[in-house]
Amino acid sequence: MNPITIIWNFLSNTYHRLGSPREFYTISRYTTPVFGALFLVLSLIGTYFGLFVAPADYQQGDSFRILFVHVPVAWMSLFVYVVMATAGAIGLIWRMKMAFVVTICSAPIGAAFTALALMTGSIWGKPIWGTYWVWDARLTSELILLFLYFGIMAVYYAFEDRKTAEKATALLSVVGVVIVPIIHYSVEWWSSLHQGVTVFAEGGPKMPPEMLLPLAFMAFGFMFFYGYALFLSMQNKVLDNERKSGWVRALVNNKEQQS
Amino acid sequence: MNWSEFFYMGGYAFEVWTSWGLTLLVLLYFVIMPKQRNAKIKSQIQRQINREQRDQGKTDS
Amino acid sequence: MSPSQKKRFAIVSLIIAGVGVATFFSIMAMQSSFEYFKTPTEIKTEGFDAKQTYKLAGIVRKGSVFRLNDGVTQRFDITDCENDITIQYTGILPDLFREGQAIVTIGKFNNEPMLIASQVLAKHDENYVPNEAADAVMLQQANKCNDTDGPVKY
Repeated sequence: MNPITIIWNFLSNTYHRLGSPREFYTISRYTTPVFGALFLVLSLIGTYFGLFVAPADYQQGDSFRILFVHVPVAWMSLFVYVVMATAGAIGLIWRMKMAFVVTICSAPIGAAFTALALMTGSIWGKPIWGTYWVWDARLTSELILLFLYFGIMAVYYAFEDRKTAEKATALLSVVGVVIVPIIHYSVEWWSSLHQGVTVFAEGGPKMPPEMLLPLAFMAFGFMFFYGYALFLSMQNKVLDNERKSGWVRALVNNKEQQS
Repeated sequence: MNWSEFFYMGGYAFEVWTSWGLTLLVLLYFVIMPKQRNAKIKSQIQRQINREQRDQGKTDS
Repeated sequence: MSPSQKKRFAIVSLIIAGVGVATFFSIMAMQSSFEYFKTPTEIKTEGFDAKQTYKLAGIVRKGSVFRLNDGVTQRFDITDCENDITIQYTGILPDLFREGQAIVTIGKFNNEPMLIASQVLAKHDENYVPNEAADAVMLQQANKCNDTDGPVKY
C-alpha cells in the first residue's frame, strides 16, 4: 500500500464515520476543543499584530485596523455559505443526514458573519467614504446574502416534517450559491464605491507583509471559530434528532449517574 | 506604550472599538448559546428517561 | 452514481443555472438608478438637464479647493483628466477628501455649469501602504492625470 492510498483510505474512512450521527458525536468531543484552541491562538496573535504592531495606512490611518475584523468576517460569510451549500448538495444527492445537519447548523453562523461584515463595513465607511451605506454592487450583494441566510433558516422552520425541511433548506442553499462569485467579482464587474480586490489581486496582494500577516492569522483563526461553533451546534442538533436512540439515552443517563 | 494614544486610534476610536467590540460579542454569543442549549437538551432527555422509568415501574408492580 | 442520483444532480444543476441567470439580470437592472452617471467630459460634450440628478466621478484638481465666506460651503473642481467640472458642497467632507483623491458626487446642476452637490463621497483604491512609504505613493497620485492610459476610470 502506497502512502497515497493510505491517506485516501483514512480520509474516506473519516468521511464515512462522520456520516453517522453517533460517530460524529464521538469524533466531535475531541475535535471541538482543538478547533477552539486553534481559534484562540491564531486570533490572539492576529489581534496583537493587527492592533499593536502593524503600521497605520497612509490614507486611512488607524481606522484601517477595522480591516482585521471586517475582512475575515466578510470572507467567512462567503466561506460558510460555500460549505453550507456543498453539504446541502451532498445531502440531496447522496442522502446523508449528517450533511443536512451541517447545512442547517451553518446558517445562523454564516448570517452572523454577514451581518458583522455589513456593520463593521458601514461603521468604517462613514468617516472614510462619507456615508454609512451606498447601493453599490458589493454592499448590495452582501445584503442579499444576509437575506438568503435568513431565508434558509426560515424555510427550515417552516416545515413540520423534518425530512422535507432538510431537503427544502438544502435545495435553497444550493441554489443560492451563485451569489458567492457575484459578491467576490462585484467590484470588478460593476463600478462600485467599495474598492477593488486587495489580497487576491493579479500580480500579488496589494498590501505589505506586516499588514498581510495579521490578516492571515485572523482569517484562519475565524475559520477555526466556524469549525468550533459549527460542531457545538451540530452536537445539539444530533442529540435533538436522535433523542429516541439508545446511544443518546445512554449518554445522557450515564452522565447523570456520574455527576 | 502610550495607552491613551492606543485607545484613541488616531481619532478613529469609536469606529475601531465598536467594530472589534461587536465582533467579540457575536463570537461570544456563538460559544455561550450552544453550551446552554446543550445542557438544556440533556436535561430534557433525562427528564423523559425518568418519566419513562417511573411509568415502567408503575406498570410492573 | 445511480440513475436517480444522476437525475437529482441534473435537476439541481439546472436550478442553480436558472437562479444564476435571474440574479445576474436583477442586479444589472438595479444598476440603472435614478441618477445619470456621467464623467466631466460627457457633461461638457453632451450638456446637462437642470432638472436631472447626476452622479459624477473624478479626481479633485490640485489647487481648486476653496471655502466660501459662509464658512461651511466649499468649492472644488473634479477632473477626468480631459475636462473639469466645478462642484459646490455645503457640509462636512469625508476624511479622505483632498487634492488628488478620487471622489463621487451626486447633485443637480445650476447654470454655470456648477454641480450643487447633495453628497460627496471619497473613493479609495485597493492599495494599503504604511505611513513610511506614503511619500512615494502621494507623488504618484498627484501625477495621476499625466498617465498615458487616458481618462480616469471610476
